Amino acid sequence: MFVTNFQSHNTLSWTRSDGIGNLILNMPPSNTMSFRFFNEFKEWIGNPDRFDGLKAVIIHGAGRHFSSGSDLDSLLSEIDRVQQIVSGEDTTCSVPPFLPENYNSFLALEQLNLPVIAAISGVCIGSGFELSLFCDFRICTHDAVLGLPESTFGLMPGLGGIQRFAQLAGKSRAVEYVLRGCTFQASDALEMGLVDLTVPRSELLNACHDLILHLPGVHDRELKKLTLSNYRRIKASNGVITRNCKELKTNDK
Amino acid sequence: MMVSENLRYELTDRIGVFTLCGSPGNLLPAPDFLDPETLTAILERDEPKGLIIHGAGRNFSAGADLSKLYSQSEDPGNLHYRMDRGASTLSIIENLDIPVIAAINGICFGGGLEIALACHIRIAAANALFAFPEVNHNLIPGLGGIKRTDALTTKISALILILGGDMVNAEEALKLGIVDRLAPANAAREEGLKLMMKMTSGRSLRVIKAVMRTLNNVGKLTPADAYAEEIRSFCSLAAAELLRRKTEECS
Repeated sequence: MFVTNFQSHNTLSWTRSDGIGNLILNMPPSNTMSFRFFNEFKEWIGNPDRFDGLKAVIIHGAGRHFSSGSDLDSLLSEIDRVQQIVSGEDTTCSVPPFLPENYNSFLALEQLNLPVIAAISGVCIGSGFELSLFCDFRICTHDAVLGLPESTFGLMPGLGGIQRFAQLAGKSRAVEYVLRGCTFQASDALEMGLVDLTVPRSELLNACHDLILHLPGVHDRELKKLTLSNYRRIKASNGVITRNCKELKTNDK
Repeated sequence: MMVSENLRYELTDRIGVFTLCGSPGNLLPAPDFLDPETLTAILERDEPKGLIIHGAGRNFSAGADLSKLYSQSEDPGNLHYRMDRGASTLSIIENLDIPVIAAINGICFGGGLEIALACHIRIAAANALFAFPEVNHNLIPGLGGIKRTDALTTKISALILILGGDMVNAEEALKLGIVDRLAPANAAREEGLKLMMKMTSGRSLRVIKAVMRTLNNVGKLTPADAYAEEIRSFCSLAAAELLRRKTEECS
């Protein structure tokens, strides 16, 4: 087992073993996503050498939960600190650069030339749930609780989660759940197509490893050289699992 | 307020409710059952947080009043014009930046189904029935219903509904994906209103519009453009929330 310890990484822990990279959101108990987390995540995803020789990446949370999402108060105070807010009939502020940077980090994860699995247990809400929506697969425990509660405190999800929610579950469900901002159970998430599999808590990581074993092309030594489009085509041509489950369903029609 | 002989409108708790009415089947006398200008004027005047469309009495709508449709067809130019206006009303509804729920009791056929399909969420009572009977009259759904059915269900199911003219019940419609939620028999209206309150009460119009605009952009804009819009909306909500917090501190 090869373990890399980044002294600079406080909020993340990254280990590699048997060709599988494990990223742990390491801010227990709730793994709240602080500014430091987003900076470290950006550094983590920004270094392609890190993924050399891997066949898959699993992302999960330290302890009982995946993540409770962004630290809202520090997010708002940072926007307040760096932006000029123009009040009036149509209150606006320009976009502080750190917000698109966070989104771009998630986007880089989505475009990573490797299957990425979110292993979700416990609470997975807000930006934490958005992060999981940028993964290729979501496997979650029966007792997981998911949702995008932003609208209940005067905001909206702002990291691209709304778009991905709608692509996976359809517009009607997205309208309902994003506006209500309520959490929902793993079984509902499965029924809506937001997660791919639900398992008992004790089997979460086993299920991820099992999925990786069955992913088309994982035995291909050239996998790391594949472009994203090749990768998608190979997965689709095997007909077992495509880049995300929505595509699978569309192909089924 | 009566919009026409066949459509009623009222505002309750900041929710606008359109009621198809005027006959037992709530027949639509013309494709432009609600003209785009009237809809826009109502929305500007009332600034509702959401809309509900339902039928008076036991049914949603049995669709077009065929005798009137045929008399309109005597002037093909006029029919075309009215179809275009009906289609643009439905397209406005589909792209509204507030949620629109179709609450469907009983029969929901033809043009009635086309109206329901343009709404964001369809709640059907257990005793609701759905069909596109157009093909039996050598017609097709003409207000965008074919495209919307195809987007919600499989091509085969869309063909069976549109070309076969088959009728499906609420449970089947849910399975096909043309209905989103089921309600007990005859209770679609109450369930629709309940869901609407869960989505809108306590939410500012600003939040509702920001979420809906983001959702309406999905598949219409490139992901990059959609994100650019999304993050602008997010920042304007953040700015409003910061102002609200500061005002609270001061008072």
